[in-house]
Amino acid sequence: MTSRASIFTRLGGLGYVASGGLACIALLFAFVFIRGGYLVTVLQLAMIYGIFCVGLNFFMGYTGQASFGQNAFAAIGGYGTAILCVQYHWEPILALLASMTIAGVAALVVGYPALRLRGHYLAMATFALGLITYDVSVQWTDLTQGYMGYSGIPPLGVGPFKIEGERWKLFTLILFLLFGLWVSHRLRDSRFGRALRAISGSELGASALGIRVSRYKLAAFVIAALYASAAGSLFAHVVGFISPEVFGLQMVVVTFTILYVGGIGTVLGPALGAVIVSLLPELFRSVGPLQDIAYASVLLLMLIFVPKGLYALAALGRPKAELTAELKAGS
Amino acid sequence: MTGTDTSAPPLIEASGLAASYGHVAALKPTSLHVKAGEFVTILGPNGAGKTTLLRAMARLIASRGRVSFQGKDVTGLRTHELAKLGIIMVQEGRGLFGEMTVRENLLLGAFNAGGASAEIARRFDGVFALFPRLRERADQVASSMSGGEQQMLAVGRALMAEPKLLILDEPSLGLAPRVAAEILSTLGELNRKGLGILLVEQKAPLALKLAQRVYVLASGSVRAELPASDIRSHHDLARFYFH
Repeated sequence: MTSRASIFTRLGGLGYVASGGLACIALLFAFVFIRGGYLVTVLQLAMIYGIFCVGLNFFMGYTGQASFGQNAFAAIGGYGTAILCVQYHWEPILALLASMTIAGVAALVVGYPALRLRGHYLAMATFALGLITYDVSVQWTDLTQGYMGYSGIPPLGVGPFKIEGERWKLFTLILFLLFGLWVSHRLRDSRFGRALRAISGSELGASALGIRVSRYKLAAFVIAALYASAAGSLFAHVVGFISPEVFGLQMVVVTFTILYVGGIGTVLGPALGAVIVSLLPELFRSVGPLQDIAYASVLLLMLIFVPKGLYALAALGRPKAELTAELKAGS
Repeated sequence: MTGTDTSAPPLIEASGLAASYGHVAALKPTSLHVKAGEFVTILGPNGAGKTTLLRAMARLIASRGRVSFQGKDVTGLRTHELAKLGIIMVQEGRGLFGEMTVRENLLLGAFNAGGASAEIARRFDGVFALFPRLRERADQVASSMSGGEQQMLAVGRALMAEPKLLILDEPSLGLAPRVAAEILSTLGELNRKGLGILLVEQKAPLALKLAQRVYVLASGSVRAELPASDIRSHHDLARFYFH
């Protein structure tokens, strides 16, 4: 029962750390917008990963399930949009929506039997889904053009209006991410979101309260697939090129890292994680061959000292009563 | 004490209910029933199969046998379907969602009310009237409350579903005697208003004061079914346990 008033109360009750963090991120974006260049591309990818992870958070964070195969739905989004735009000359936004629909139906069909599995078995089944999709994207060359991939994918836009400037692309992606976060926030505190979080707490306990666990898990899986597909489509429109490697295992690893670094199960954590995880390697670029070691060490330190994710730091400097009610609730 | 209609079918009736953990038969074929508005207690030593019996009735574990509710066979129904019919169980250890607030836990209790906000508000009022402390703690995270408050929340959450039958597994476990008495006394009050209650409880004297009928369970089967007033001392119980 989170009212609008309480949302504003939350925003107004931000502590020093959270306010400072928000200000830093705002300054960073302002700096990148003014300076332009390579960092704009880095933040574009961060926004795309953010959208993917806000969706994955429904399934892994709110519902407490494991999926190693959401890259499959990003691939459906990417290839769907590429094929529809390049071969059939669809409007990009229509191609994006059509690809999301295909990904949603695919998630429904795959998820129905797969979600009967639990724990490690579910994780393995979803992992297999990602591998199968990768193989299909490599082998079915008539459809996907194999390793060659698709190039010449048009930028987002409607009719004659195209979003072509890199700064405008970034701005558009920020809007998409904000919309995704808004949906996530609204759903998390709804009856639906409470059911998901109850399943995360205890499937039997949720069931004993009248929650049809299998149906809600499937719904969370489909929502995650919709977000992943949108992220895949946006990647295709922003970069203009896709190939099987884009949606490979690397994507699984990066999205897991983002979720845990940002704060799994929180609304803002996935977005925060996406920005941090995308920028960290750039920060260490100057150390040359030690870049990967430095990056991995910082990630490790974060997981050790901030196991609930960086979003947990936002609670520092806030009154104790608010901490118990909001940090522990993961909002 | 609410009078029970002898001609009506029992509120819930289990026939030949049995359950195993692997090769171990935790519950041998067992039959019991609770009439509408009745308060029934199951007593028995540790390992008697009391929790298994409750969990089998609520379909939280796989079992054999037949269960009917208000005269209808519900054996094939799943846990969430039984909950929608009005069979709500407060599990041992309370089963709260510790990272959610009191309000969120209560809202989950009213899951069967859908999105009807007026109806949910009415149920909130009912629970807060019974447990005023929950109103004070509404925005507090459940895991940060005391054991007694958590048990109040567990019972309150079950009541948010407006159950026809409330099944409770050792609600006094780990509570101070005064708090346990307070919780059990509330259950008595609910029963006087017509709620059917099936209670597993180690604190036999407290449970016997409230119950109308008692099943004594030992080694996975019912050793006796008798009016609560027939058990006056631990010796009476021990007689059944070791018989």
